[in-house]
Amino acid sequence: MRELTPVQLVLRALIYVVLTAFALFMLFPFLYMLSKSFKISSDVFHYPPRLLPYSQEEVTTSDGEQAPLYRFVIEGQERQLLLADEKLPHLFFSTEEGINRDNPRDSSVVLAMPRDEALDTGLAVATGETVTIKMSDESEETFDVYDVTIAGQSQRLVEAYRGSLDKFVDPENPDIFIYANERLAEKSEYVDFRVCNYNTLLGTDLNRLLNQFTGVTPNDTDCPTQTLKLDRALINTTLVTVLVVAGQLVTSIFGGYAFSRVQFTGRNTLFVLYLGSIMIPFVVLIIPMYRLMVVLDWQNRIVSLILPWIFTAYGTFLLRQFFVSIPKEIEEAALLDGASRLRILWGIFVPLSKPAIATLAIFSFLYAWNSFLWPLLIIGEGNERNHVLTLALIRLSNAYADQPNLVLTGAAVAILPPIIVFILAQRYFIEGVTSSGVKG
Amino acid sequence: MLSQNNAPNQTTQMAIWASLVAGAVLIAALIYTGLTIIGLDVENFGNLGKPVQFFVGGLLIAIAGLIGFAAWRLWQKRTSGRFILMSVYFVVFVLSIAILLSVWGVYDSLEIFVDTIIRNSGLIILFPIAYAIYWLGGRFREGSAAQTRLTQVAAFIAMGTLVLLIVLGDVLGAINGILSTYSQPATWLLTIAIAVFGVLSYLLLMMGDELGQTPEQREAWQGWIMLSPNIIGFMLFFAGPLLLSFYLSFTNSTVGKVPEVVFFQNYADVLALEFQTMPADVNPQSGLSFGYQPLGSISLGANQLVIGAKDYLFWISLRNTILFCLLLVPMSVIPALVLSIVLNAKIPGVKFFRAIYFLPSVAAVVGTALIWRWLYDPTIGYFNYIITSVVTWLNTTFGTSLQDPAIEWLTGPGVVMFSMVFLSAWQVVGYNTVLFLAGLQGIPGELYEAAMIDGANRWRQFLNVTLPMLAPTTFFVMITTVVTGLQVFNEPYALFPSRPLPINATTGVFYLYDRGFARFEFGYASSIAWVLFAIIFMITLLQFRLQRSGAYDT
Repeated sequence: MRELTPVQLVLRALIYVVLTAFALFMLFPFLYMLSKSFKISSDVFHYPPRLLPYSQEEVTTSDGEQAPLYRFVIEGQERQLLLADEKLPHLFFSTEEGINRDNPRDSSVVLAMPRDEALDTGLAVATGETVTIKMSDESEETFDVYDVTIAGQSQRLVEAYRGSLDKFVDPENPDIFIYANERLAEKSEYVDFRVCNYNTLLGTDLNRLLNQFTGVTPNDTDCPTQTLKLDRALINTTLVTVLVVAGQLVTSIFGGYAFSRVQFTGRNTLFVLYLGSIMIPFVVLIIPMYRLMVVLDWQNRIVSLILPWIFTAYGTFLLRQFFVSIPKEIEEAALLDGASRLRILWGIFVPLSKPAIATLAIFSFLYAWNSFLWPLLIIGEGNERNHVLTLALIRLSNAYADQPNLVLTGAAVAILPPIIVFILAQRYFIEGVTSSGVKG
Repeated sequence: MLSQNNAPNQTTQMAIWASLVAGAVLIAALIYTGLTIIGLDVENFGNLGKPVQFFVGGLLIAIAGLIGFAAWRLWQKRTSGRFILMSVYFVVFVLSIAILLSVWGVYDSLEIFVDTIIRNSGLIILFPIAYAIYWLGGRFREGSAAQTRLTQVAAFIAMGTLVLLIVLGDVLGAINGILSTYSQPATWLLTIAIAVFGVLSYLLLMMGDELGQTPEQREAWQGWIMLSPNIIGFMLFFAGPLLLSFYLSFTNSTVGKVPEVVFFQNYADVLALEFQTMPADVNPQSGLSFGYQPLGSISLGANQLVIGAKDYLFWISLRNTILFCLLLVPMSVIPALVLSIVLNAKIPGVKFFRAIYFLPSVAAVVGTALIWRWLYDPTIGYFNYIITSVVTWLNTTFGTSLQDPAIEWLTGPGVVMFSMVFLSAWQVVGYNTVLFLAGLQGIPGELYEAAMIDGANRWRQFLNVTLPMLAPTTFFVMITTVVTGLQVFNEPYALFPSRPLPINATTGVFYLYDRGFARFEFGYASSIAWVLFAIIFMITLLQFRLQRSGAYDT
């Protein structure tokens, strides 16, 4: 490799920075989808949003129960405490000046004390006095005055309001505890990929599979089961896609061969007609095709997703263009040897045009797998048996509007197969797009 | 095939007789069916209307006439008669098979097959295993024994699994079901028709040489047979529906009502506009005729020109669609152009980046739209989180007091269109980049060399060589983007959770869907479809024109 000048190096680095930044932008929605699909429900609505899935750490208490852990800083030392007691009544003390004139609950709190404990131990003693404070809405409110002992010193404080706090205790050292609001406490969390969502939607047991292959013991084996699943839709989509691709290949190979190599009157007219049909958008055919399916009584049936779509002018055109480029001599020699047309097609043309056939297969795969409008029209909302993935996804998103982790797991189930196929057969994708562009 | 040359004359004569008899039966059947279809009540023929029944029935009777003509020609031992009869019999043969399969319930068995797979889902794992073995075979030398063997094993596993799945799916019950359909005479009739017309088309095929068939004619029927699946599909699922759509657009077809032909009424209703001048302080609505809604107004000093539309939503959806395209083109084409130029620099890793950029375009729009729905979420979505973070950072660092906009991406009337375009641009930009890359790689290197000799620097080379040479590709990319943009449906459907859709996100095809399938106004919706098609067609035609007229020549 030739040496790069410093300027070129900088330029190249800059190019990579731009390319990587854009690549991250392109990938981000997919990363987001995957990360959400590994999340548990309680983590989904976390703010600020986080890309990695988290779970709260838990500890087994002395009585054998699982208790969640929280992170606190006590006397400068970070500790993990467990939630020991919930909703303990507390007194919230403030100074007379500290009372908020709009809402006492927003007062600046000097100290909060557990009520029963404070009164029993005498750390807080009601003086029996009250102060009356004029609120901002001109009403007057009275507040009790207490003698409160803070760090050995007695202080006169006003009870701003009564509320409740939760008690957190260090599992190793029960003497260390703190009162805080559970909702505001920082949870002690760790990164945790859960396959539960996939199990729920596909009815699989990925936990056990992972355990068998990796030896990692899954931490949750009891995934919630849902009636709404995607397994059937996945199989329906696969079946429809396989049959549509196979059908399109057969009709296109025959059609492409006839249009390229067989001479007969009317062929060119027919070809122009066929080409013209590519220019007609599906919009015009939506309604009559629907009516036709009603007449044929194919509504709500999988066959209506397959049979009308195995004839493709685009595929016939694509293969015709490829067949035309195959030298005539090969075929003529075979014809002289008495080989039949079918034999020539199967034995010579098909093997020679593998790239074109692969391109067509991939495009019809994408087309069939991702199609949405046609299934939406033909397969009724109630007919869940025959839903394909795109339809099932819409249903999922309506049913679980409050559980994005499940919805995005569904999206992953629908999106990942084409992406895997793309990664495996990238070359043909790019070739297909490129050839459509060059031909115009 | 060629060995059949000297078939005994006797057989041929018999075959001709049989063909003529079968032709007569077919003529009778076609005329009977044709007349029945014409005579049926409209409700019993899909509620499509008498004109459709006359057309279909007439077509059948015309085919009957054609058969009669062909039979007469065959009687005279003309090969053209044989050719027509053969084609018709072949089509009858194929269609009978299709119908018999339907009667047997084979199409329904697709659903049953899925049931079987679900019950035996463990077996599915064998398919990837078969593929893995096939893949492994591909690693070996082409044509080697190991490759052949592995391919065979893979095929055996795959086919075996398939057969096993079919067998597990209650084959006995299925056979029993098929047999039970033979209690109906129609099934017998179909089976006999398949046998008779199958044999007859074969016999007619074979007697070509005796009737003096030329090699060209021989080639011709081979061509037609190969094209026949395509032609049948084209007629049934393209040409027929296209005609039907055209007819429906002139009717008031809807559910549960006999459609009446209303001629141009639908088109008039869709497109009707009204222009009124009125004083500027008058409510625009009050100055318009009954049934018209103001689309907008232009101020003319003390007066205003109010434009009213009868189908207000159509014009709004049309405006949205055009706006969508106008926004999508710069947002997906300009980044694609820039990216492709960067990627065209001969640096390592280009293919990797190209693949990543292409990823969104292989994913289902429904899926990606759902992802973006959550990215756009006003409270937990990343877009607003990033905006909030930036605003907070600016405020704390520079002491500004910027307001957090808290954009309602999915409901804000001014934002929904942009949300939709942004999603679409993300999805197609990689596709366009690949198209541009292909265009760039097609530019001959000599042009750059010549420019270099002329002393042009990089920037001038870009301006004077790259851009003009890329013009055809750019044009192609823009046209494809616009044509797909004009048909946008999945994005608004899946991105916005609210129904009805935000009015600014209602696109033309969505409006068509709404009229056709939520309100079942098939006639009206068809006319909307044709109006949309006219627009799309004009743009496609523009491309063809420019391509032909040499705008692409450089």
